[in-house]
Amino acid sequence: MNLSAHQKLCFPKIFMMEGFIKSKGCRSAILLFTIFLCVAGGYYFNFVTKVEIDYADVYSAQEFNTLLNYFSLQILYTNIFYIPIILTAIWYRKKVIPLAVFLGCFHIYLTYSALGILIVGTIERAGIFILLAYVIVLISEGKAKEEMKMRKSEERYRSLVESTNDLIYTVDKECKYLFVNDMLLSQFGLLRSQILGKTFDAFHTTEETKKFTRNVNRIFETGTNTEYESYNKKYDKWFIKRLGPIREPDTKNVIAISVISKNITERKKAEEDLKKAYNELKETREQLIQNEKMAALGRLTAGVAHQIRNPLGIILMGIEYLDNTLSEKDEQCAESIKIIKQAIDRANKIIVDILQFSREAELKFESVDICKLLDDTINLVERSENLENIKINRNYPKEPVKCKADKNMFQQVIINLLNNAADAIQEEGEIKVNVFYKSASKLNNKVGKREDDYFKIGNKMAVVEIEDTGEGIPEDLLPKIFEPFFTTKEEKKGTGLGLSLAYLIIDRHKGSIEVESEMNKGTKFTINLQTGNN
Amino acid sequence: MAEKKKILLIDDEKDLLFFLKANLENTGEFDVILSNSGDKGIKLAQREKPDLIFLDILMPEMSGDEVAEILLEDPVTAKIPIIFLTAMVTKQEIGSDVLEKRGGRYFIAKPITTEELVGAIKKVLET
Repeated sequence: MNLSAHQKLCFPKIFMMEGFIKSKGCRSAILLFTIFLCVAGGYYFNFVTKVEIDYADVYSAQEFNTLLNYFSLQILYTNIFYIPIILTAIWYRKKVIPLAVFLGCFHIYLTYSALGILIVGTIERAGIFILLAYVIVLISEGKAKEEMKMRKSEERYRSLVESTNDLIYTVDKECKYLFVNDMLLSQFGLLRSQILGKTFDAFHTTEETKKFTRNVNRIFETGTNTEYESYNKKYDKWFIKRLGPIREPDTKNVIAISVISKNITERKKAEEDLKKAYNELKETREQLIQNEKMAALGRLTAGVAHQIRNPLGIILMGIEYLDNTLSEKDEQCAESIKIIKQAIDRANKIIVDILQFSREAELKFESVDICKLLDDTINLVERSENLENIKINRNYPKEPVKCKADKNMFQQVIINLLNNAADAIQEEGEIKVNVFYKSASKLNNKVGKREDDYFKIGNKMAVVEIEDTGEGIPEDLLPKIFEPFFTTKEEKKGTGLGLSLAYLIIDRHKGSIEVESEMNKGTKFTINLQTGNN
Repeated sequence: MAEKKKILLIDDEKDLLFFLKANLENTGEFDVILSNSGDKGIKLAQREKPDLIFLDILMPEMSGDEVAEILLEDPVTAKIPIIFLTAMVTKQEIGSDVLEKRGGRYFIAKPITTEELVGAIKKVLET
């Protein structure tokens, strides 16, 4: 592993040498050398030189030289002698004290016999050196331990930062990068030198930078952690960014921000899929409920309707009988009979509508040109009272739009929708009838992968839009408008079955009908039909 | 004045029969005979040989369909036209035409006015 400059500083060369000095061979060699110095040196001074000095009465020039040599040798010896003492002190620390004392005594004993005057100085120096060595050892060893501990902990953190899959970096108040981990570099294929010192906006969109800066500023102000999700458009990746303050150890002031950015693209995608599936499921459920509701209501109402028709028939016949047989007919009586007949007619109309639900009657599907069918239908109703002041704009493609449809049924749907549009327009207005082809692009009612979906994504659909400039439908009523018996019209005007019938009929055509509305602007019904080719 | 047509009504609703008879006879064009059940109706048809039979479909004991089958098998009554009178809407009734022909049979939906009834009778008898 490469040591950083900082680490090299932490471990001065002396400690690198320590290993060598501490090696066994070296130790014993120096120890032997020390003992040799003690014994040989002592012997030399005691038994060789002493004799010479003791018995010399006159110092000749040569003798003086010998004496000088002797002194320089002695000085050299005495000083060299401390080296092994210091080294031994380093090696053995506390254990060295008796050894030092022993060696010291031995040394004193030897030198005493030769140079009595140097004894005190020698003892002093030896003692000081031993103590000095001991202190150095203690300090350096403590420091080395501390450094080792620090190095280990630093390494631990380092591996934490580098081994993770998250992107970790720190920025200062100006959002300048101070540190980035290797993962970030490899993720974005950048060099450390390309990032460090640059600001956040160099690598992110303005929008993302704004968000980041806002969070950084907040941490500088409050000192609290924060996190947010962000999308990197360039790399098509989602990240969750966790930002936290880095404080100055002494003052506890926030000096930088640490950012851990986790790639959550997979999770995000899974979440989106889940959301989609959930919505699909919800829609399906609603659809099922709606269908089941319609079917159940159909069965019930069909039974009821059928039972009502018989007595209704009797009432009608009875009224006619009365009409014929009452001899003294007055105007009031005639009026009453008329009203009763109208009421019967209305009741019957409702029943006829209701019975449509239960009918499994086969539809006669044939290939029709929707545009022509719409024209025919519009011509049929155009002159009716409620469409008097309303302009009908048609917007068809030039070529015929072929669909498989039951002419009569489809016509009824269009009549219902046109009548509704006319009712929604208070006085004057416009109804737009648009026809066009479209390909099913987004998941929608009856569009999707489900088995009972009528359109698959990409299928071509024929679309009929009927758009009015009427009063619009309040948003809360929109989901209800296809429900049977739901009506906002006054009592005699509607049975509340027109749109449910339209829904049912279009459903039988394997198509879908949808509504959009805006208050005071208008309502748009969109019918999606299978094209002739499907 | 042309001879009055004899009409047989078969329906389990006695009240309806009563008013139907009254209203039809009131027009002065028809003689109306009544039966409130299928088997009695068949006997009546065989004996009286009416010009036209109105037949309810949903009746207890014997349904209109069964009655029609027996009448069609009997050479005496086979040629008498039958109009099914029913509260079950058959098809496309929303349109203007009350009388409907399906599979060689005539259907008429309840409730019905005398006017519509007479129109239907005439239409069937003319064809």
